Amino acid sequence: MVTGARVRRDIWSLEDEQPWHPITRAYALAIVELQSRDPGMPSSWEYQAAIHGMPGGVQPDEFRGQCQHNTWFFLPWHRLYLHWFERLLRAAVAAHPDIPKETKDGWALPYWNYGAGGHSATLPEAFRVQTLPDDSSTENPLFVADRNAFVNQGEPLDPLATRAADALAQGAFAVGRPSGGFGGAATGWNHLNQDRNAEAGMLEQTPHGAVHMEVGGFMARFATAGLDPVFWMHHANIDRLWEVWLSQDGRTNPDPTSSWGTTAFHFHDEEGNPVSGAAAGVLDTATDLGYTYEDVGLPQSGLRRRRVQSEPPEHPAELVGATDEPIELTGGTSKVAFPVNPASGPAARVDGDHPERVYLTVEGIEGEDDPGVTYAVYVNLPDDDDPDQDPESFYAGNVSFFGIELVGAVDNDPAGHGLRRSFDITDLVENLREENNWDPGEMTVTFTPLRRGRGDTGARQGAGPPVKVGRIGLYFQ
Amino acid sequence: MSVAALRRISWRHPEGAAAGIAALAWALLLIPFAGGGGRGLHTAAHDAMPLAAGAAGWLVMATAMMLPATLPAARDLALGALWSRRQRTVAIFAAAYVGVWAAFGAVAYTVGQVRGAVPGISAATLLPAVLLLAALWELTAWKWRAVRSCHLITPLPPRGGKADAACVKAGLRYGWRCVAACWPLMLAMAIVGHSSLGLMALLTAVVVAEKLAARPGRLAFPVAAILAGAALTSMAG
Repeated sequence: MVTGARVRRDIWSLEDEQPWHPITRAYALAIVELQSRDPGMPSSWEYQAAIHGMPGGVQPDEFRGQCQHNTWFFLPWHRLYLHWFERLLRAAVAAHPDIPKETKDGWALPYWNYGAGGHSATLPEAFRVQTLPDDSSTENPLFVADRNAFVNQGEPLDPLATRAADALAQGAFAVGRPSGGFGGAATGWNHLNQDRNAEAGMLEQTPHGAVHMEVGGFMARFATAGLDPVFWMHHANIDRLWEVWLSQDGRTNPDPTSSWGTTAFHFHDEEGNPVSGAAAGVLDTATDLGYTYEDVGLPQSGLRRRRVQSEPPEHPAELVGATDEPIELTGGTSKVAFPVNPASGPAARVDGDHPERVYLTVEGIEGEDDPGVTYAVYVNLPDDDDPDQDPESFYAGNVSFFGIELVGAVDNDPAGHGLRRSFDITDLVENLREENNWDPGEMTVTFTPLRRGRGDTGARQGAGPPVKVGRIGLYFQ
Repeated sequence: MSVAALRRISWRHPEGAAAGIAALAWALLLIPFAGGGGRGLHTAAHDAMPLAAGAAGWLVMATAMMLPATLPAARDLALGALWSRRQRTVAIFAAAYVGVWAAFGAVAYTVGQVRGAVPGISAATLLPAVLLLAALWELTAWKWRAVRSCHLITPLPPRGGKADAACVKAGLRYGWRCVAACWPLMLAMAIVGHSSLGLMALLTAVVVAEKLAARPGRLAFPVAAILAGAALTSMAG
């Protein structure tokens, strides 16, 4: 560890030590300070949220409405964003008269390690009570009423929403369509899906997108996500999972001299001065940015981890089956079946029946707004099977809809190609073969809402508009 | 380059044949300027069959100017098609798309005939006005809504007549959005014809830049200025 580097700690590690741990309390007091500032100031709470997204997806300047999604810039852009936000908070903490010096000296942004299991998947009470502990007349800035009710009631997120194992099993950072690899496909500047090659990495899909949508409310939309203090702890965890992924053998970032490493993004420092940064300058968190994480060990999940994936083959993937008609997801369980052809392109030259990679895609996703539901996607799930009993046997991934409110919005530049999701299901298909659950001529795909049967699903059904899925496809590579 | 390398490129770029057709269209348009008998042949064709030669010229020009900006969309659709349908997908999509521009050409020809019957309005007086109109069009919200709509490509069904029909529909829809975005540019070309290679090259560059930019709205003022400059130049010329 680099001397002097601050440690970003797990919020539950802090709160287990002491409810309203001084680090948590300082976070709340610093947010109160930011919220008291003129929203037009770069150091204000509202402006910081606007850096991530603006209503309608506009970019009024090079600072606001800039978040990068469905791209290989997703991780470095958010690292830069959090770094400058953390510096802003540290300055507010340092200047606050009610925060002890030892807290000021070591303060760093906490992270929410919701994937650790047990009570870690719930939101700590400090984020769920309406007033500060030592001042019942002051509203608690960590509490946001606009979240899914079960979150503010202290119930856990669905384990599938917080699951990082599939993302961490990816061997390559950036992979082109139909998969995004671990960190997203190589693109140019990409707020939502302006770049034709836009494709989210596995980490961006789950847990990132799923947790955004499961917390819900402000967190469910680009323009408001940063208004929920949970957002910053969520992204600190995503940033930490990048470090966890890199800690495994053979995992490397893209070439820092490529456009991934050199494309500059723009922010403000704590004094309000414009600053810029690129991925190449933030790859070592301790030496480049002055922070480390309390824990970057591989998660000990009760769920079985998929086998580690190597680099994908050079030849392109080919579609071998897809749905004929769009389907509509309305909050309940949906099931579709479609025929599958043998591979006939380069994948057939290797072994048409056992391709090196298999991908499931959910393409042409459209909807007016947050549907209020995230779906788990299963392959060849038998009609009488309860997926909650054995999620590993048929589970492909989650489809969540962070950013859907901007799809097809042609009044501003973020209008883009329909939203896509993709899952590397190579090992799942191998497992299905071994268990005699794989039919080479047909495939079924089942969508089930998360937290099925836990009481709140019904309440959330119908809360948002339905989602149209243009096509579900199966690709061999 | 080895055969294996070429094959790998073709795997990644199923739109290659369409790119070749666009290049061929540019080559055909250069024939009258290449010396030898090219110019004579071109003139003779227009003298002998003015309507057919004009229609063919328009089709070649529309292909040369508009097809390049369409290649990424065609590629997307092809890469998402069954392997055996990749080339077919590109061909159907591109044909439907060029067909929309052919229809636009027919309308422009009819308007041109009416215009020709009005005394005092020549191509030389009309071109600067249309280029100025194109410059103003760049500054409207309608223009950019149409450009951004071009980004919205719906995935196709995988096989059979349903896939072909959806591909035709996708090409027509893409072509219609392209006409909505670029009609003043092609109206200018309808006035001057395919012999104005300089203007063709300029407007092709504009179309490609606008269609492929991640944030196309940023091009509104620069392109409007370029088109206004072209209008002034044509007025002076």
